Amino acid sequence: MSDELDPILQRAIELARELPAEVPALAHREQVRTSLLARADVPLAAPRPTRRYAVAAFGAVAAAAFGYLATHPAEPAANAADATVMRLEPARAIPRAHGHVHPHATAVLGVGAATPDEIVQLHDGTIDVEVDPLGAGERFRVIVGGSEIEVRGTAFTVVAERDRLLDVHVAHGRVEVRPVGALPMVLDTGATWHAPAVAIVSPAPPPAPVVQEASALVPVPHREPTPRAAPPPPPLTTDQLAYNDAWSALRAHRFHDAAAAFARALAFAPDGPLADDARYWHAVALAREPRAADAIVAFRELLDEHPGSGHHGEASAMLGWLLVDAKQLAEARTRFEAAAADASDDVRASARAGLAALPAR
Amino acid sequence: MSAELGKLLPLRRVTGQVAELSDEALLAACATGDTAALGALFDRFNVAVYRFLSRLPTTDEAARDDLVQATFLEVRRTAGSFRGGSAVKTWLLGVAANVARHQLRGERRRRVHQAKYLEGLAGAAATTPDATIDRRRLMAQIAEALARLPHDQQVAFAMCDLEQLPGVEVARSLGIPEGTLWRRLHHARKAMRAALAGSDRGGR
Repeated sequence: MSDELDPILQRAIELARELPAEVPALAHREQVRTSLLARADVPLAAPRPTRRYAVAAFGAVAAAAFGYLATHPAEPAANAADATVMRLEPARAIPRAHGHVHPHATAVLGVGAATPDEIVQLHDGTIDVEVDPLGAGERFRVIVGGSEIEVRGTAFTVVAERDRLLDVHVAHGRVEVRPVGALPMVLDTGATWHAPAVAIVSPAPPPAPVVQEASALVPVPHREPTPRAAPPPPPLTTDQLAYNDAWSALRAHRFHDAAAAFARALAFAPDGPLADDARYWHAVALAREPRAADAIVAFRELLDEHPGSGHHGEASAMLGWLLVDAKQLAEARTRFEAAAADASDDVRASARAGLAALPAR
Repeated sequence: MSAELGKLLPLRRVTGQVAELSDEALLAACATGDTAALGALFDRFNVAVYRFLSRLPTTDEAARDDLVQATFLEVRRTAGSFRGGSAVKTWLLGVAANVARHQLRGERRRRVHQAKYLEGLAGAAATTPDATIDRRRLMAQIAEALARLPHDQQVAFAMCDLEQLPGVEVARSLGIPEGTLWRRLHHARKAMRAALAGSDRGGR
């Protein structure tokens, strides 16, 4: 465009850029994303029942493929072609606000978090899940290690081993699977997701499902296969597990996975002891991905919600540089000024360099 | 695992890490109905779309989530028409602008949204700790001038001057001749300049 930008117009544009341009918080945008993918035009393979669903016996087959059948011959087995429908024993079901979780004999899981965001953490074994149709703003998720299955009214089976997601089979409805290190995908009725094949060590047969239920999610510690003498790791909370996953991804320079896992840690415990650090490293991961616009929002959230954060100076300086790139110079100046008195020499030097890089007032 | 159990729906047509895929590759995958690619596009551009829509006073804040969803659903529907004449982000914001325009329901509704926008800005400015009275006044004048622009001029100003996207690409993304975009931008700039010059006389 050939209009010459005189100083008055430049000033007007600068002021217009500083007008509030609201971007909702990450958790809200994630809900919009889930809703968007549910609305995307993917035809269902079969009509959905109105309330509850029977669960196909696929889970036992999937478990058998990974060695469970040999240790549990009594588990009902079928193949997908049979499409045999079984009703699980009501006594074994764990009631949830929006359905039931049916653990198979080997399952090790934790359940917790009430509506609107129900979470089941599966560490090992197989569970069948029935979920009633959810209302607006309600969520139901199954977490396996760093992977996540999100559902909006469905029946499905999840197989895991030692916090690694192995299989997801959807009996009815639709779920979104977000495996660690891979693109998310949507599974419809009858669809199955399998993890890439790896060597599996058959676990020793445990006597019964191990379940902990608490007001806050408290995962059950792993159990190692019997030949190994290593002691079980100490119990970790869900946000700690996600935080650890995030750090693993960050160290491996898998910034997208790291950002997602830090976001999950925050979703589990937005006011927890890790929240400050998780917000900071979430923003750093976004900046490194690079998703500068998301990183700007994340840094702003950190500085707004944790004004006493130990990362305040560093975050302010990093945000300042991102804002310089985004041509939001007035706010960049404010952020650099906030970092200029930081205790760290490096942060102060970065802030001074940032201020020097800005045009004179 | 027997072969007949592998009934994964053909939804995951893109391969590799999302970070390795270009915007164009994601859009191409989206055009084939790939829901995972749509999710990845959303991850990459949702902040830009939210920010852009919130800069258009003619859009309803309460319906912004719906506008964002409608934008990405439209992206999915029309991804096959992308010819590479602009960056994907520019094209996507053009889709958002057109979706927003279709959401408008006449002048009365537009004025209601503008009034809400100005009211919100006044509240936001009042809570800004370092905002001087003079600065608040200038910001309010700029906001009012922006709100009074016709929607198409708002879009031209937001895309070219606020988002700093190339005019040629903006015109293509909006499906209008470059001259039309220039005229809209000229009128918008004139109004914005007048808003500031009327009281500030260029002083800082």
